[in-house]
Order: sequence, then structure tokens, then C-alpha cells
Amino acid sequence: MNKGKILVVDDENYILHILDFSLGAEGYEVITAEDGEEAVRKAREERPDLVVLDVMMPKMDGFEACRAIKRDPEIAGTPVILLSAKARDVDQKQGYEAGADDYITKPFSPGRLVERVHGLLKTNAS
Amino acid sequence: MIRETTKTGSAPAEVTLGVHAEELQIADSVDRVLQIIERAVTGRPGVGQAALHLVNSDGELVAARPLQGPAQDLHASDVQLEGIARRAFREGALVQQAGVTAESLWAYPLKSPDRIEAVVVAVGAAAGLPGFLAQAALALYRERQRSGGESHTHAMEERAADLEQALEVLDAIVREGGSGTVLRRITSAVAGLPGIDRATLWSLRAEDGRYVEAVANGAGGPAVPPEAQRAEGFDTWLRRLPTWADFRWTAGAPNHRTSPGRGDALVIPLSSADKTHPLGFFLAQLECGLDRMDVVEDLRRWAALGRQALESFDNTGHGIRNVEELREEKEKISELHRLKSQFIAAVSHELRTPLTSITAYAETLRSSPGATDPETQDRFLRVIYDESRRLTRIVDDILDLATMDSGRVRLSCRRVELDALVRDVVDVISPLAEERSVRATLPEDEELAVHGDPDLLKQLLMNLLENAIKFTDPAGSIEVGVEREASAVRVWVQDDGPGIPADKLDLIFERFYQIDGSNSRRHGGSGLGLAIARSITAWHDGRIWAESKSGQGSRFVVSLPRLRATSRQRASEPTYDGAPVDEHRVPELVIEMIGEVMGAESVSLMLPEEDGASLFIQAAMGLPDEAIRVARVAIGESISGTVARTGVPILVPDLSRDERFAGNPRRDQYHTESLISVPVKRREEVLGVLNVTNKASGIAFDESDLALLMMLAERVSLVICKLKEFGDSRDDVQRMEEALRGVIDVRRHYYPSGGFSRLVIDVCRELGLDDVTTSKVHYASILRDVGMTRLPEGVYKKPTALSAGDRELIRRHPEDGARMLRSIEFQSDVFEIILAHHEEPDGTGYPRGLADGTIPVGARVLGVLDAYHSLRSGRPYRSAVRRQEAIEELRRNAGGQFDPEVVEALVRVLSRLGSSETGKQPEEAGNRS
Repeated sequence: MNKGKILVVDDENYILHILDFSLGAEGYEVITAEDGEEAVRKAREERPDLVVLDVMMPKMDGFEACRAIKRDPEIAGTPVILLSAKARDVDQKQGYEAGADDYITKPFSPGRLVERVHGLLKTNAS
Repeated sequence: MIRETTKTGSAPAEVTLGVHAEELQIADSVDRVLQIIERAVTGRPGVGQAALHLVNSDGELVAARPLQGPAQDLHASDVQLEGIARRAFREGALVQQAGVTAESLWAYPLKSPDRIEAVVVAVGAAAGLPGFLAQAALALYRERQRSGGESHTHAMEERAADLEQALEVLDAIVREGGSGTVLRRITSAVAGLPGIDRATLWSLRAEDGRYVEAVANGAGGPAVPPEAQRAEGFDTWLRRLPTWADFRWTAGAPNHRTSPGRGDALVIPLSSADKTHPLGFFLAQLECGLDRMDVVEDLRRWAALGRQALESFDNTGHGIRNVEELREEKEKISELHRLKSQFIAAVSHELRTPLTSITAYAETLRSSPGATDPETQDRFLRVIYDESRRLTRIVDDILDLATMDSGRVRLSCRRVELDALVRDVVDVISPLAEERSVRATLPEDEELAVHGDPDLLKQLLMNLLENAIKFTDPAGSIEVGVEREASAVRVWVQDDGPGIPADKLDLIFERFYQIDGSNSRRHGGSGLGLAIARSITAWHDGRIWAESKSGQGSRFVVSLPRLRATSRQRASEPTYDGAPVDEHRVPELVIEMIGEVMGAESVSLMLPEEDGASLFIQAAMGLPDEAIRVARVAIGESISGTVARTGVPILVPDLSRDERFAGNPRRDQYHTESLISVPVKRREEVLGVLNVTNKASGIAFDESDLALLMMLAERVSLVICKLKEFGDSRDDVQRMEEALRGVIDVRRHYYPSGGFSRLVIDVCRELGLDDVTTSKVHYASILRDVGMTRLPEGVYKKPTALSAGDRELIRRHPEDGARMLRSIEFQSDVFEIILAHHEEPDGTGYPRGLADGTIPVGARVLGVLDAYHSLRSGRPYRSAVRRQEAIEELRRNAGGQFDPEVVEALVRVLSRLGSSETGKQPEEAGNRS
């Protein structure tokens, strides 16, 4: 049943819960973090198969956390999906430049997010 | 007339026209098409003088624009040409006519699909041209359509560029004064405006009072013949002009034109900034009859610059203020723009956050198979509900802020006791604080009142407390306190949360700012609470700030201007003191009533401060709020202070001529011309001072006004005492309000001012009544119809005679009035007059049918004067009669309906007035009873 471990990072509790619920329902193991620093630490310690990362967060924002993950050779291969209320093209560009594998804008569809997670894990596995 | 053809000799005219026709196809503007028409028409053999009339956007033919070609030996008069052009325009077809001077004339309308675009008129042969002109009409149509669409954005760009240029010139005026260079720049800018081909600036030469052309730009001959201004009346004409006018010079004098065309000019008179003396004028010559309204706006602005330039010839630096203002304005706008976009970015993020939750949960509920159990569904619905509420709160807060920013807030200010307010808010908030303790520290027996809007101040305090709760641990504690300072009251909210770094102390009041960079959702709230608190404080002329040492919690402090008051005031002022809302408006109504009765521009009631050393304004009308708040008058000084000390009233008919108050600051401060200041006394004790200034009618106050105000002051004293004694008795307060409202209403709707009162006083004196009785009658005359305000609307405005039912209603008004006034009236003779003013000596009056001898004299006077008035001014159902007829009517009924003695007294008074009577109704019309 366990299809993989996903680290979900957001400072919004409601968002964490719904992602936990949606991904959990699909058989993923979900771990959570509430800011950028915690995200990078957990990415190193827990070695998730994928990270869903909010952009606007206290302490360390999503862009920076993403760069930190992608710079660490041990975990650089972990796919990162950025989740952001910043919907402009330049924001997306900044996200991809930070090394993100996908960029989803808020408000988002949990169903679609789960599909993207499936997709990325499949490409990564092959 | 010999016209040469080209050397090759034989190029047929049709070929040349064909070339022009091709040019029409590629012409890219209306002007270009017009040029092609000009060349084609004037280039035709056998065509002499020619002109083109355009049709303006109103569909009118505008003045001719001459078409100039190589040779124009054939001429006709302007009148002839214009006449035939108008005929062609009217008939919509080619018109040909044999000229008076043997040459033939023709005019051809250029018709496009939707209208006639123009009319070409010429002397000589028309052969071949109509076909070409028909094509030209289509080209004109095409270009007009095309430019129409683009013209808007284009016009905006041009305007912006023009403004930019204007700003530069203004700068130059400041640097160089009105130098020739600057003036040249102005005129050249004007000459560059569309439709203007020449601009001149004329300045008034001080030595000989002549206007000289300061600078000219553009081609063409002089727009104003030099001799023109020497013409009789030129100066007067110029001064009489509004802001601008169009005209053409004929025979050395300006002639106004109804449809300006080429050669006509717009003139804009320039006078000094204070409009006291002329500086010169601005003349812009029209290129042709284009739609000139487009440029008027621009012309005005340039004319304003011209004015400044001319003015700074002798007053360099005069323009500086304007430049600074313009620059400031510009900077302010761009700063506002920046803040606005920042705010919008923040708002969109803050709105997106709850929206994200709502859509995510809703979608999952709808489509996820895992979300079918009732418990999960319930949980999800709760999130959706919470987030929707949050969204609403954010939107509400944004709207609140937007309202406050826009300056459209309507504060309903009154005295607010901050300690009571704090107690209330703490009660409301404690349940929300959960485990946290919220404690209020309130000093006892302190004056902690401010002048403010209680609802907004509550919101301010709520926001501060909510903020404190958010940043305090569940086991933490919050303290609220109020402190009195010399001229302010401080409210503070202290929490024991994490504190605020010193460099963030100001930033936290910014919208959506969060110290840790998180969004506001994390801490609950909209992220706008402190921003709103800051706005509310600003609206109350207060200050707000935060103090904090990291790790030791934060303290938010609001300082508001203190309202100084005495304990006496409490009973008589609408106050927020925590009691259930049952505010009354008695003091305001008293002031309003006095304003109405006295016909004064301003009224104020001043009471002594608790220390007894000075007076403050307890209630007022017609004075600026600020003045009300800060005004303090030392007892014994100035007018009100003297009245307070001596208890003797002061009447100043004309302040500017009164030597007693030569140095009185009130003179400039309130533009007071005439004033009365009377003591409000209870027996011998002075409770306060009542001031009225300036009669709205512009007439100075006199002794009879003073007597009336003294009567009113006695009623004010009664009201103050009553409020003090049983201020809590709701019924009594209501009765007083009703009485005061009645007096205000009757003054506004039923009662004439001035003239009628004059007659009442004069007749009383004529009858030998003493001053006290006279002022009572005068006062009663004002109040006598208060009962009328009880009548259903319309009864009194009936254009026909009253029905029996109506009459029955009306007959009740003396009693109704007396009853209404009971709460503010204490003199039985005043009651008696009001009650009896419709009694008649023969016992047929109402309501009691009193007979001669038992009717008070005041009532008899009012009975006669009412009748006289109603005869003279007419009722809706009865037309007015002349004075002599009225007197005869009164005399006929003397002894029956009217007191003969009073009638004769009135006749004597009127005959004395007689010689000075000029108008039809010198005693004023409008009385209804």
C-alpha cells in the first residue's frame, strides 16, 4: 500500500491537513513541516520521495528551501513541487530557477496535485 | 487671364486629377486629404478663388478656409461665396450660378455615407471636379472614422506631454521670472496646439495703460490690428469677458462670432491671481473651424501659466508656490500609486490563502472517495465555514480601511468615558481570551473623557486586545489601563508575549505586516487590525505607538486629546458612560432651538470648568469642532468671561465699531460682527454663559434680541436644572426633547421672523406695556403655534378652504402647544398668552370662549396681529389684500373679533411705518395662524 513518503510543507494548518488527507487517501505516507528550515532538516533526516513546498513561509521561504534541497547532493534528486499564491509568470520562473520540478498556484485542486505527485514519482522511478 | 500649361504641353486635366485621386487612396489623415483637395481644386485651369467649408461635429457648416493656389485672378465676394456654399450644403447637390461680375460660381457638397463632410466653393469652371471631389469625400470619411478610434488614446498622450511641458515652463518661470524666453515658450506651445496657428500674449503696460504684444508665435499677419485696442471701449470689453471668447476684428473693434473660422481668435483675459487688476490677455488665432472645444482646456492652462509669467515680471517668485504645489501633487500621486499597488499585491495574497483552503476542502468533499464518513465531512465543512468567515472579515477590514483612507468617515462624536469603554470591551473580549487573563487597571475619580466616536473607539480597543491575545501564550496575561495626562488620556494594552524587535515597532502598523514573515492567517485575524487601529486614532487626532523589549512583551499605547469637563456636565450631555444606550439630545436641541429663535449664525453654551477659573464650550452650533474642543475663556476676561463673573449680559451690535473690544481676538477668529452674551442663572448663581453671534439676516442684534435671549437663557437654566435633578427620568427628557423640537419646527415652517416680531414689540409699546411684559409677548409670539407642528402634514397647505374636520384639528393647537411647552416653560403668563391667542373679545374664540376682560393683553395683541398678517399675506386659500383694506377689515370687526384698543395701536404703528414702506409686504409674509 505504501507508495512513497511525501514531505508536505506549509505554514497553514488547514492546507497541511487537506494535503495529508488527499495524499494519505492515495496510499502515500505524509510527513509535515511548517517552515523552510524545518523542511530542509526533515528532507535530510527523513529522506522523503517528494517534497510539496509552500513558498510564502516564515523563517525560510519556499524558494530558498528548494535551493537548499537541490544544493545538497545527498537529497538533490528529490522532486520538489512548489505551491504558491504567487501566480505571476515571474514567480513561476523564479520557482523553476530555484530548481523546482513543478509549480502549482493557489488556490489549487488537491486532485490535480495528487496527479502531479504520481507523475513525478513515476518519471523519477523510471 | 492666361494659364500656362506644362512645357510638354498637353497633359490633360483628367490625368492630373487622376494623380490626385490616387494620392487620396494613400492619404493617411484628414489634413492630408484637405491638402490634396486644395492642390487639385486650385490647380485646375479656369478655377479662381476657392474655399472649403468643413462641417463640424454638430453638423454645422463652419467658416471658410481659403484654398490657395498658384493663380487666383477670378474673385467673388465672401458673402456670395458663403451664400452659395450654404445652398449646396442645404440642397446636398452641386449648385452653379452666374456671378454678379460675369464669372460663374459653383459649390459642391462632399457627401460621404453618413453626412456631408465639407463644401468646396469656387469661382470659375467646375468641369471634371465633381467626380474627384466625390472620391475626396470618401477619403475624408475614411480618415475621420479612423482618427476617431485612435484619437482618444492619442489625445491622452498629447495631454500628458502637454502637461509635462507646462510643468517645465512653470519651472522656468520660477527660475527666470517672466522672461521673454519663458513667454515665448508659452506662446509657441499654444501655437502648437491643434487648430491654433498663432498665439500672442499681450501685457498691460503700466506707463500708459496700453496693451502691448509681449510675444508672438506662428505665421500670419497681426491678429489684433494695432489700432484695435485704441478703439473706444476696448478695455471695458476685455474686462467684461468671461474666461475666454471668440471674435474677429472688424473695423478696429472686436466682434463676437457665433461660428468661428479661420482668422478668428480666442481671447483669454489674464488678471492677477487675486483678480483685482488686469495683466493682459492671451490671443490664439484659429487655423480653421476645427472643433475648437478640444483645445479650450489646454488654452486655459497655458493662459494660467501666461498669467503667472506676466505677474512674475514685477513679482519674481510668485510662481514658486505653484511649482511646489504641482510637484508635491505629482509626488503624492506617484507615492499613492506605489502604496496602492503594494496593497493590492498584499490583498490578493491574503485573499488567496483562505480561498485556497475553501476550494481545496470543497473539491475534496465533492470528489474524494475518502471523504464520505460524516465525521470527516463535518470537519471539512467546518474548515470551509471558518475560512469563509475569515475571508469576510478581511474584506470588511479592507473596506473599513478604504473608507477611512478616502476621508468619507462620518464620525458621530460625543463625550466618551474611556474607563467605561475599557470595562465594556474587556467584558466582551474575556471569553475570547480563553485561559489568558485580561485585567483592567482603571484609576478612580479621574476625568477620563475624550471627544470621539464610541463605536470606532471600541473597535480600536478590540483590535489592540485581539492582537495582544494572538501573541500571548494561552497561560499568559494581558493588562489594559487608562491614564490621565495634562491634555490627553492614554489607553494602553500590555501583553507578555514574545515582544517586538525595536526596528519593527513602526512596521507592525502597516497593512498585512507580520514580524515573522508569515501570513496573517497563522495568527488569526485579517492582518489589518493594527492598521485600522492607527487609522481610527488618526481620525481622533490621537497618536498610537508600540513599546517593547524583546522577550518582555509589548505595550500598545493610544493617546487621545482629553475632553475637559466638569461633573456638572455629565448630567446634561449625551455621554457614552457605559449605561445602556439611551442618549438624549437635549443640549444640542437647546442650542438648535436658540439658533432658530434668534436667527443666529452661531450659538454656544459655555460652562465653568471644575476649578471655576475658566469656561469651556459645552454645546455649540455654527462653530468649528476644533474651536469647540479647545476654546477656554478665563472667567473675568473677554466677553463671556466678564458675563460669567458679573452676571450682567453684554450686547455688542457691531463688534468692529465697538471700542470696548478693539483688541478682541474673536473678531478675526469667528468673523463676529454682532453678538450677545447672557448669563444662564439659577437665582443668583451663574450656571453658564449663552452666546449668540451674527444674525443670519445680517442685521445687528438690538435690545429686543437681548431681551429675547434673556428669556431663552431662563429656559436653558430650567432645562439644565431639570436634567441635573432627574436626568435619568426618561419621560421628562423625552418631553423636553419634544418641546424643543416643536419650537425648532415651528420656527422653520410656520413662523416669519423679523418683521412680525418688530410689529409685536411696537404694538406692545404703543399700548404702554412695560418691557418685561413686552418681551414675554414677544417670546410667546414665537412659540404660540408650537401646537401646529402636531397637525397632520398638508392641513395647512390646502389650497382650498379648510373642511370642518381640519378646522376642528386646528382649533386644538393652542392647547396642544401649551401642553408641549410645559417641560421647558415655567411662566404662567407665557402659557396664558399661548393658550388664549385665538380667543376673541365677544367670546366666540377658542379654545375656552373667554370674553373681553379675561383675555390677557398679550393674547389680544397676537389675535389682532395674526389677523392682520393673514389678511396682508394671504392664506393658501385667500389672496392677500392691501394695507388699507386690511385695516378697514380689522376696524369693522373691532369689539367683536378684535380688541379695538389693539387695532388702533396697530394703525398708529403702521402709519408711522407708512412713509418708509416701499415693498408690498414690509412686515413679512408667511404667518399661518
